[in-house]
Amino acid sequence: MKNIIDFIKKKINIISIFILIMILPVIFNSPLSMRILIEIGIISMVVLGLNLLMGLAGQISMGHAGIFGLSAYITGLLSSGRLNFTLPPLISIIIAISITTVLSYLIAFPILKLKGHYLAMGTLAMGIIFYSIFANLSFAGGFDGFSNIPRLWLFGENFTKNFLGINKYLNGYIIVYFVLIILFWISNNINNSKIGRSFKAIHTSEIAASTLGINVTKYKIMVFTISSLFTAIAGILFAHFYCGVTPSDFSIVKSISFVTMVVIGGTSSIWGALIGTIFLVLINYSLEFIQDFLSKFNIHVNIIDFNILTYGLLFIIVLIFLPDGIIGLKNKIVQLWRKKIVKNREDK
Amino acid sequence: MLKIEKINKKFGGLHAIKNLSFTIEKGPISAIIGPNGAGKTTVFNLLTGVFKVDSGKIFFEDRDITNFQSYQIARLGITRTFQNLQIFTNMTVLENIMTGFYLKSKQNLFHSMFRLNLKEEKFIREKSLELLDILNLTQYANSDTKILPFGILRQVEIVRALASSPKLILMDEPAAGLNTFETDILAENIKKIKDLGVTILLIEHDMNLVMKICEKIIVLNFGEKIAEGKAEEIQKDERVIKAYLGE
Repeated sequence: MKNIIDFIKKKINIISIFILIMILPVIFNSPLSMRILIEIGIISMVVLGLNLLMGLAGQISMGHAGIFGLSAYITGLLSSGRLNFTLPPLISIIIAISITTVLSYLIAFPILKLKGHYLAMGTLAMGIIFYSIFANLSFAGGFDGFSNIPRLWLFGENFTKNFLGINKYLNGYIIVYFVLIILFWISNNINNSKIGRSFKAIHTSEIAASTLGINVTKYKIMVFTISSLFTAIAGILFAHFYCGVTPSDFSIVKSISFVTMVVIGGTSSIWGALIGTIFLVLINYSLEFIQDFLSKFNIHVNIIDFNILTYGLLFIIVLIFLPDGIIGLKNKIVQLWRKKIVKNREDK
Repeated sequence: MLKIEKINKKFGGLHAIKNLSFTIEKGPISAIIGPNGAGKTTVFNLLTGVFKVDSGKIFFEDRDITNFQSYQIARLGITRTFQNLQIFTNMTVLENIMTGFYLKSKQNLFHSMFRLNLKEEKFIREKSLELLDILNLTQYANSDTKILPFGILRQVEIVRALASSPKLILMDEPAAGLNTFETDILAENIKKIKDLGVTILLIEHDMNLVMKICEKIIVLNFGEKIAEGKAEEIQKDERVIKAYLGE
């Protein structure tokens, strides 16, 4: 019995998250809130990967939306019947993830020779190139994108829908959060391993890392590829749950919002990725409410411009006042709290 | 153990290292000294592959390591510490040391991703604590490296270098920025490391320390070797006195 209590105490974070994930769809069961939850789940995967790249290894990518889009487009095209042949989703998913990961591995070779601002510019260019390709694929609908991508079902459409009584939102929720938990577990493991330590070493001192025998180039390529793998998985889930893709889903603004999520959440911990995503997605939706509200008074704002404005403001506020993000804020509060307890004890 | 043959290095018009040759034997502590700008750190950077030599050869244990990459040289058993600290400030002291065990640990990405490394991680953790214990740093194991004093971090860097179980450690001004008390501790620690069977080559400005612990001294001036020998010989050498005090 004591062992069980100890175990619960040790894993309290994980257990509470599990319970939260199970309860959330019961409380927020309207289609809109389920959509928001699924969106948070999918984007969390991208941000988790980006957090490995930025937080652990200290590199940056301003073009992850391109990689996100690439896997979504590949699986979409292969499975929606737009080409001469149609593959079942399960096969197109595997093909999409492999092609995207291999391609980003190849891209990583030249692009990670760049450092700092140049790397940011290089990856930004990568994102723009992908976006232009999507927008100019005439057989994929050009700027309008295409729809009719089959939905991914837990155990086949009929069985899940009619026999288990799981609607399409709950079905999406279960799959997305199952994958998210696995990816979170994996990135947590990487964090506490030799590979993770090597990434962190490259972050602070490449020269010291190499004198310990770490092949800096190899590890930079590795972290970029892992982060692309996470992004590719998010991409296929996006394609198969939104059932359609347009180039504007994978624009530069998306890349910037991913980076903003990483920074706002805090790069020092993988929890930061989740918190940043939840925060920014919720802000995104609340902006839509504000837009609706303003339009009642005949003030019309463009939601995309509104978004960019808010991202910029948040970014600046976070960088000035919370350089370690929301996670850093939490750590500060915990520290203050502990100090207060110690002080109280001393006073007594 | 380490043999350098007529290496040259130019930075633009500056001939930083001119026809430098020397050998380091296995065992005794050696030092490279010389006035500022003599090219001491450049020698270290050439030895560890940070810079490439223009001409000449470097041999380590009879193996030509000229123009190897830094990580390849580290794999052969040469590691170093830095004049301006290169501590991984995003990790605790213990994690810094565990990073030093990079070459010894066998896990790959797959092991890391799926937690198949727990046994090895535990082993590395214990080994790291043992190493910290040798230099009496155990109390700092879980401290954040951002808040520790400079003197402690220097020692941590030395332990981290030691963790990669090198045959030769190059220490770049280990006593720079330390007070006399800390320098004494450092001298003790360097002797301890020597007793572990690691050969040490250091660059140092603190002559007391050099004369006390080093058995062989190489003097550089303007990229050239002007003297080589035991402490007493160096102290009497005319060219050395001239280089330090002027004509």
